[in-house]
Amino acid sequence: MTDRPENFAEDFSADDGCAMVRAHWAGVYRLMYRLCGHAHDAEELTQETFLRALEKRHQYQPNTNLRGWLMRIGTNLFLDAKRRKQRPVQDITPLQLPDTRSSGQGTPEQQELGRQLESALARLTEVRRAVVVLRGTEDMAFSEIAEVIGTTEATARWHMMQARQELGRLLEGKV
Amino acid sequence: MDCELAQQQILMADDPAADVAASAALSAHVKECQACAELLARTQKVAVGTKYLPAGPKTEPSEAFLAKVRQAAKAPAETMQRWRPPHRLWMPRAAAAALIVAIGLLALSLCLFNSKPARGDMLLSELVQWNLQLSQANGAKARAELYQAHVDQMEKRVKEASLTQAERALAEKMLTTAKSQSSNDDPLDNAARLEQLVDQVAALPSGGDPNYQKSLEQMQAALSTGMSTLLGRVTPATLSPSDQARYQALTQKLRQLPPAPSSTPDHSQNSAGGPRMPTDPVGGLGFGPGRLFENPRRNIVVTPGMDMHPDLLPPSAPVLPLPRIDPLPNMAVNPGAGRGNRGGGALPGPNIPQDNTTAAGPANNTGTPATNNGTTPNRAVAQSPDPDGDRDGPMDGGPGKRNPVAPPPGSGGGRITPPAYHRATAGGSGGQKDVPEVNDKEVDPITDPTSKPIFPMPFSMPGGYIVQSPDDLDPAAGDGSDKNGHIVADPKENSLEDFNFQSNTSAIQILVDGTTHTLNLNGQGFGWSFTPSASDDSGGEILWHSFVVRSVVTPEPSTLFVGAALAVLALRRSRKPLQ
Repeated sequence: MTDRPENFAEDFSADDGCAMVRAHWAGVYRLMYRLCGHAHDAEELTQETFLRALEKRHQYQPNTNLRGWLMRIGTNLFLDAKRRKQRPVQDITPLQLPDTRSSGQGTPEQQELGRQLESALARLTEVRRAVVVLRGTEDMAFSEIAEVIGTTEATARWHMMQARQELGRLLEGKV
Repeated sequence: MDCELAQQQILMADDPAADVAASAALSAHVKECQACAELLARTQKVAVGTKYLPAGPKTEPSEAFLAKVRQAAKAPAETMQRWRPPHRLWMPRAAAAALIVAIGLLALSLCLFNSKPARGDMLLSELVQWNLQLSQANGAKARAELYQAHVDQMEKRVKEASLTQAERALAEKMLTTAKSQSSNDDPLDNAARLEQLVDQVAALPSGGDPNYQKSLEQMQAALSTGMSTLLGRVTPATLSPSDQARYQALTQKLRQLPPAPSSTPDHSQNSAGGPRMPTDPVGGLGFGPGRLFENPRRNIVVTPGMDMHPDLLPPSAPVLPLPRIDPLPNMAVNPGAGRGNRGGGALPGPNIPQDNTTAAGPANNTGTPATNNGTTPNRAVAQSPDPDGDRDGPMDGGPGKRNPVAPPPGSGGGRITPPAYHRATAGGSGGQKDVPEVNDKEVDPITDPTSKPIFPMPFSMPGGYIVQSPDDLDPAAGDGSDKNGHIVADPKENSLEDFNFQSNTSAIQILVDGTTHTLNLNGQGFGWSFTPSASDDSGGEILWHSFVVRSVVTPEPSTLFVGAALAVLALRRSRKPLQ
């Protein structure tokens, strides 16, 4: 991904925090949007992620993966909010997205595949959805994904296996 | 490579197509296996699809949010601090916590160490009761069973109990006596052994403790009751001269003993308060020199050793006019029994109900349903005086009409012969009986399967619960309690289980055929057994057919203390001003 900064530590403490927010806003927002399926909630969670990161910035280890740290904060916020509210995950369909745009890449068939996959993703568990999104959209390695969801790499891979099997079943005959 | 491993690697791959291509073995397997090839294609499609997920509405951080970020960045980073409650709240909370812990420890210690050791007289009382029951048990088999049921426990308790030397000697003597009673059928011998126990109990030093002294007196009374029962089984005419002398000596001794506390009034005296019937050598104990009791189990004996406090019944629980037993149809009354001795008015309370199977006329069954449905006592003339005073029915034509059994020799006036049982099955219209059954054959209501319970069901009890029938017994409980948790004795049973009450049982209430007795246990729970029996010692009636035992449980002191402490805490909390 293009918005991945080279030096996370400098990004984090370079200025008044706005640079860090701008650098990672899109990635965090995408993840939040994929997880909660609601643009407004995703924006709230994204803002909360950055504010929480600023509050807890003393816990950040310099020269480590700032993006992974932010993703972890965001994922935990989402899971906490999910537990508190027990809000059912909305079925993400293109009709529900007010400004659905493709990633701007790929053929029309690939974009159609992406839209079909978006609906199927909403039926996965939160953790598996996070694994798929972090791997497919954010191009994270499984070791990074494991850090974000707070587990081991093997477990992250197992979640991916389960998610791919389930997605394969859900998309069978559609694509 | 097998399919399972190949598919697992495909599904777990970072990039399925690239990983398969990088692995020669996997690639070769996929080329050969159609299923794995399809799985690879499907998984690759999913992997590719995730890269083309719609991005959603594109957003940027708003200026307002960035302003908030700047403010957050200026603020010092939150450091990890150990949470401390505000000082103002810390002290009372700590004090409350300490108080709760202290109360808990106190309650625990009370529970653990408050079990007072059983007094020696409690164990002795139980041994006395055991011997008493053995003396009243009917038949060698019943005695042997009763003995075997308790002997191990009693021996163990005697061995472990903290007793004085004299108490221990008495306890061991009672164990020996119990063993003798279980194996010896001679009532005279057994009565003599009980007499020795009476003497030994009387010799026990009470140490100036009035309660202990009272307990000893009750033990003597209980043992004398046992003697009385045993002597009642003796037929003096058949005794040898030496045994007759022993018999006379024992009866003489019984006269000197304190009377036994009884659940029923002493009806051996006539209404004028005259002397006891001459045939009753002891008086009030319900035996005579003749074989008056065919079935000793019918003796009602509220086991001594318990304080009888009928007055302790709560005033709010009036004694209900409990149904009385239907009259015995062929209750044989000695022709000599005069109006003043057994007739109406001679007994306290309502006159003894007459035999409504033979009685006729509206005066007898007025208001009584024609059919006894089991809920209405069939008491035709319960409130009507017996005109001829012989308690065999006003319309029967005179005293002694239904006396098929001659009075035993020496029974004298007023004594009754063992009653025979049958059930008045219907009152009939206008008091006429539908089933003019007179059963001259004596039937044991307890053991005879043809006998039906005479006690009308349901009956109520002060305190508010109703026992519908012995069938209400809860078989799952197995302890004689009914489905409401009350202990109900089944009159069909030959003997009842011991009812073991908890240590916080302050009293038990026993309903025996309409009479409620409250037995104060003084906080000492104990095993108590009631051998179903009935006697004619209250005037010839068979009084009991069922009884109910209810325990009155008082909270443990520790529970009260904890409750009070919690109440004080709650009060303090409620008075705390809002802050």
